[in-house]
Amino acid sequence: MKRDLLVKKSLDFIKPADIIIFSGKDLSSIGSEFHTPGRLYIDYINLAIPLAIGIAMSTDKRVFVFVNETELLNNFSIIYQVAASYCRNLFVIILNGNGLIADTNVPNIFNTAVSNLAVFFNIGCATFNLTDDFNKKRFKILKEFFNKSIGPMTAIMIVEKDREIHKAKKINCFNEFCTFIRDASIKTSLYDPFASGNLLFDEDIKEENNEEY
Amino acid sequence: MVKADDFLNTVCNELNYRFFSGAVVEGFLKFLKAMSSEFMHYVPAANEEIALGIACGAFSGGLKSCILFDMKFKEKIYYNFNFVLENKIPLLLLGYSENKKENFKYDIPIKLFSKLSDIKSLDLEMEKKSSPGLLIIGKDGIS
Repeated sequence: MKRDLLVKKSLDFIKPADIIIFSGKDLSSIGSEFHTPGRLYIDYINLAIPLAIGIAMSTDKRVFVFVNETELLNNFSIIYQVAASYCRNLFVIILNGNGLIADTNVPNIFNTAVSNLAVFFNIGCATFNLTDDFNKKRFKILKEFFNKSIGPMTAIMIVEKDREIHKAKKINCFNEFCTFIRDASIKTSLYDPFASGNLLFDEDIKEENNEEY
Repeated sequence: MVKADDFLNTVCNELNYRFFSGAVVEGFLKFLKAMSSEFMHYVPAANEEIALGIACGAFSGGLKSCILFDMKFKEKIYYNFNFVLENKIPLLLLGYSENKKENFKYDIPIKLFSKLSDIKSLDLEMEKKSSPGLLIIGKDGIS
């Protein structure tokens, strides 16, 4: 799926109470088209994810970060930091464009790992590849996934070049962003299995085990 | 020399810095040992650049924050320091240095630590200028 289309579609699944951080000029310009107070656009390398970790630690609101894989390669230790944070409200969306930078492809080594999913998982992040779900337009499943996921989680999606070149808009919204985070009247949208009653009780587990053996 | 407990009491309880992040600094060993989760929150970071980001994030969430680093690695702080200045984030930088004549690339309030009142005056200056501040702690700073 085209990167800009995928980002816009993902934004449909994220709730207004959630915090979203876009990293890099091109992702920021895509995200800033529909600006809301809970969004921040970072034009500094290797800042978006640490910033998100700090925010996730100081609030119960869900924090989503959109980054290109090139940025992750630049400072891979950040994945250890994401995993070690144990933040249930932290979600990192990695857009793997095979070296896609501002509408041009450059060679990079992100895909040389036998399995990026396994690398991330073994570090301690729940990791998913949502490429197929987006390509096959399984939007119901994706919505459920975005609504009920618990962090720290990374999702990798393979993307193609943007449909159009987005003009970079510089939005200085840090103060507005901070006010949004600190606003206690905006409640978290983090999935709570206890509240929904969607739990497996001991008896259910026993029954399942009996069936298996 | 100031005792680590007194230092923490001033920084955390009097000045209300509750969030700390930093990479491993040998010079801050006594300080790190005196930390307690009862009155503060410390997040070990993989490197100084990450520590800066985490502290900025915690500030966004409403916590006064502080980073610990070795002045040897101050270059790593510089990478994203413009973000801190642009947004006037009042970060307290605690830099360990064995060299008393340290310089910092950016024009921010800087104090060489010798007594507890140095932190208070630095905090006041930071508040006036709404900027981050650097407290340089030497070998004989905290015991």
